[in-house]
Amino acid sequence: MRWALLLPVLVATAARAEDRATVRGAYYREASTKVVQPMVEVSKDLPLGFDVYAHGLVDAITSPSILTGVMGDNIFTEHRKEAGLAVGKLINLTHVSLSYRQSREPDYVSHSVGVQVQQSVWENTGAVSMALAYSRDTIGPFLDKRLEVGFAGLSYEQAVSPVLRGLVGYELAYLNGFLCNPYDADARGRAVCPKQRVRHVGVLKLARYFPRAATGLQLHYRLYYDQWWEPKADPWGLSAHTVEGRLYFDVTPYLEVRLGYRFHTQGWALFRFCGDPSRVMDPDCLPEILTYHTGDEKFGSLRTHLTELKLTWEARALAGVPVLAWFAPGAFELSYGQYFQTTHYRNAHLLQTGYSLPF
Amino acid sequence: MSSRVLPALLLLGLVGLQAGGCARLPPPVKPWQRGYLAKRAMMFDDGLEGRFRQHLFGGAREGADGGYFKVGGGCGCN
Repeated sequence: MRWALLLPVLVATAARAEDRATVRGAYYREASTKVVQPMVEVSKDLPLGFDVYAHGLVDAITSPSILTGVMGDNIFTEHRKEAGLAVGKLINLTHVSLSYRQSREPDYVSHSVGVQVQQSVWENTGAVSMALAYSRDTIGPFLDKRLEVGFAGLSYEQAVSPVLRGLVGYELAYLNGFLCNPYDADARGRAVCPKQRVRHVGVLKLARYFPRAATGLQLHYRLYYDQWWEPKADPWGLSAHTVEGRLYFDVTPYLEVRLGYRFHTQGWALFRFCGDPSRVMDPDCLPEILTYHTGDEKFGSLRTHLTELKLTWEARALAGVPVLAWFAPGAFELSYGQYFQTTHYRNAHLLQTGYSLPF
Repeated sequence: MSSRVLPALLLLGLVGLQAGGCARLPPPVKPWQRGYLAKRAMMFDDGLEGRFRQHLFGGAREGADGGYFKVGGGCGCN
């Protein structure tokens, strides 16, 4: 429940699916929570310009939580199951796809639909993508709360030179409904969150390859700002900046090492800021805003750091090995990251592994 | 309202300028020059890895979801 539910609506770079199957496993561990997530995805080109993509995953989330009617912490594990399907068609230089995704857990059910149009430009050196999506969720121990999300995204990706690629994107999301965690509470009791939220996100990405050093560099920047739908007494106003750098080294023709660092900083959502009793007299804390309150730390000011090491091994060396030769066309991945948080969740370990096989 | 529309218009303008220029200018990269662009280091699509990242960062531990070209859910996840 505390983990985002995702709609696999497409990524800007994939003009058409390739025939590929991927399995992955992720393990996340922090002082209070453990997540184990196996995932599988398959993409396949079909005749007449059609393609299909499907994925499935299971989240096993173990954490302490104050359950309904129980005034104490309990350790519990819940499972979230997610499956998605997307069907696309390439029409000249335009790729159109439709997707559906469903996610289920005991206290959260989500249905999402989406459409994406991607237009290749400038003799296939660039792509303009537009995505629209809508999701409808039911939330809570009795599944009696509702949330609707409308999403629109626009991005432009361009190869600027044989060794330089850039991407600029903008996303807009409108959320209407229950926006708290249903188990969220503070000193005033059950959390009360605003019912609407408008998210704005701008993204800039650059990738540069240095052939002589067999090294690649990626820089990402993300600007986030959100607000209420109504112009006055906005209880949100949360802004965030995220920067990420990745260095790729070709250690051997078959082995790639990726070093990554990500930094995220965000400010307060105003209703979280005003929730502190010492700020009741703050002129920004208008009476309308004081009606909201939450104990959820992610609505407050925080910073996180992620350092990560990833190895990708093209398994061609297995080509002559009996039985294992079956894996030779694919690539194995293994990554380990440490996630540092200024919230009470503190530091976490993130381990991922996977294998991807073209067919 | 203008603060919501302005970024979208700016992007559309950039795309429009680019598209207009494409009709006259040769592409910056010829097909036979695209070998390095196919390397993993030059790709922005993280696939399932990116999905888990949004799961973790955007939904559960940070209050600023977005930037993955995907929509997230609600409740405590946002």
